[in-house]
Amino acid sequence: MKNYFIKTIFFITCALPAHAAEQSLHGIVDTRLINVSAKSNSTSYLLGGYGKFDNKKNSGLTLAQLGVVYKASWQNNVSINIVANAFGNKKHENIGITEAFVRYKGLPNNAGWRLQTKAGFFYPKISLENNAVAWSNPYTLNNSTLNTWIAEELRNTGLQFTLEKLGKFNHSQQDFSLNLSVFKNNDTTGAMLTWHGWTSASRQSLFQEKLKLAPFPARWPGKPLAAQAPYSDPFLELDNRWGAHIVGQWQFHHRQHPFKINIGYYNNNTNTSIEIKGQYTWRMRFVHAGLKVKLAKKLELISQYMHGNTYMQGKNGGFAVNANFNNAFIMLRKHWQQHQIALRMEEFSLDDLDNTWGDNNNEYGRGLTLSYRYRLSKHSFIQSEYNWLQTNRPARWYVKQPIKLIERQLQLAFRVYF
Amino acid sequence: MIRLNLFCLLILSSFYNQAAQVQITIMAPNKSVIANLVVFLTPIDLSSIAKATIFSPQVILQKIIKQKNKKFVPYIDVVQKGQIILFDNNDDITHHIYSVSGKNRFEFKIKGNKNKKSPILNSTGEVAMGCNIHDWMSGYVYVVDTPFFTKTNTNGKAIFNDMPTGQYQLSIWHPQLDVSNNTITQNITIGKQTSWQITLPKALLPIPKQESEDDFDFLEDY
Repeated sequence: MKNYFIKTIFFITCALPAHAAEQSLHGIVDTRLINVSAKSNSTSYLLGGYGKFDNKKNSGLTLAQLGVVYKASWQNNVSINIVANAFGNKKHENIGITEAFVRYKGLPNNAGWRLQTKAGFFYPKISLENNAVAWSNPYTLNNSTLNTWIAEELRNTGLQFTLEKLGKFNHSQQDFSLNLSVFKNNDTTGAMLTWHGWTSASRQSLFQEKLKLAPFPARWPGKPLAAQAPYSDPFLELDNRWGAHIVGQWQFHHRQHPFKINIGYYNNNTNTSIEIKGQYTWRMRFVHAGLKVKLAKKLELISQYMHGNTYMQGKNGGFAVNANFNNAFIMLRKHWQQHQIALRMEEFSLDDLDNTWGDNNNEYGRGLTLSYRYRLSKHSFIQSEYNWLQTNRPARWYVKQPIKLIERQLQLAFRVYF
Repeated sequence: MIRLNLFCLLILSSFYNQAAQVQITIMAPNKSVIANLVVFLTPIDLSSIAKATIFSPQVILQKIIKQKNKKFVPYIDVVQKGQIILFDNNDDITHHIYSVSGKNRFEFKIKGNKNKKSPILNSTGEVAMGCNIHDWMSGYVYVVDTPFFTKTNTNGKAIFNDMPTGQYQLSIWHPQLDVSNNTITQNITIGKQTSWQITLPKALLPIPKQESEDDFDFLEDY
């Protein structure tokens, strides 16, 4: 499936007349000095531990992101978009593709209707934080736990249709859009969320990347999940069924308080009785909502909410992993001249609904982020950020760590957008 | 534009002995003045010969609309049927300019610091324009079928120099004028009377700010 997908994108690229295209290259370089502190010696989730940050203790100087966006667009409103990223997290460096798609963006008609389509490998429309080049977050260095999970386990491989109604041609300040995606290659989604819980990072999983699982007892030889592979393959198709994601958005260009609201439903529609080479199908369903509103001059609120359920089972239905999950954050940001201060508060949980031995996935946590950004020039920024996360996760007992853990991280970043 | 007006005047002067400066002041219901309203005068009783001459511009003239700081500058302009617009991109990024309006539909991309001409605008009425990359950008051109057109100045005055006397239909247009077809018309006779004061029946709707609601420069369509 993956090879087929790469070949398709390659052939489309070759078939389009390159000489007639307008090509562009943009990106971000984000280097950081990082200091992580936690009461116990927890290992980062990236390395198969229960640590909530993507960085280890004493990470020092790190390449947090090198993102490059290549775009070739034609006069007929078709473009090819390829986003490549490199991440330098210590002991977990990697480079690859995070998105690759062909896009058609039609022109609005005189009533303001516009149709857009995407085909390929792309992010579902959920995050209100990650709206900058290469899915970077212009407001804070670490994404909220909600969007950290989107970056880790969610990517649509399929088709997306967006129908928009722009109000401006009818002298209306309101725009509406309906966004429908049908996708494959997201059958294992839920494994990481359930097994390591919510995390906070700026890391994005790459097309080819495999994600290391924690060594919880249910995975021991002879135990219920012994067949589970040590790494989860997040963008894998196992049951050949299409999933769907639908998002409605309402945008009001109010003069003093413009706002944007979106509500969506995601269902990967997997057949949960499949296991191939240690990769299980997980059913993933959730609703999500987002709000972005200008409260006062240069003061903005961004908030997102998510509630869902995921489960998987063995071939004979002999065991199951089943969890409900919730997440919400509120971010306030104030910007003036070269400055921006952002404060984000979040709360999240996982409720383990099964009785499988050695697999306790309960979690409750709260997070706080305080970030200050200073614009040095049009293209470069320095940003310092403090992240605080308090989580209660009984599974830490499996690796002899305190169940209740407070993790702190201080970061100083130099970011260049080009 | 000046050349066209001079040319038309030359033609007109052979048909009309008198010429006058006409001044039309337009006010909102609260008596505040309104700038940048399109005002044009269409002759009612012109002889067919003169009409044919006046209404076919011999030289295709152009108006310039800039794309500056991701805005259309000016937001509103007025041209005569048969003219074109030169889009002058002052930004260092590409804009994808389009018009959604009837027979005056067009679209093209203009790279940073380049310019491009619209097709000849042969259909009268509103040309509503946008940029398909920056949705907040919005601009209008009104295409008229008369050589007598202008916009109100900052004092809310539309001034027509050396107008031939006679009967005209006076039209006022603005995209945010909240009346049928966004247009108000009335017949006037230029002769003894050369100035009019017109109060709009309603205040203009809010004019779009043409500003992104995001303050960051490196955003993508996510």
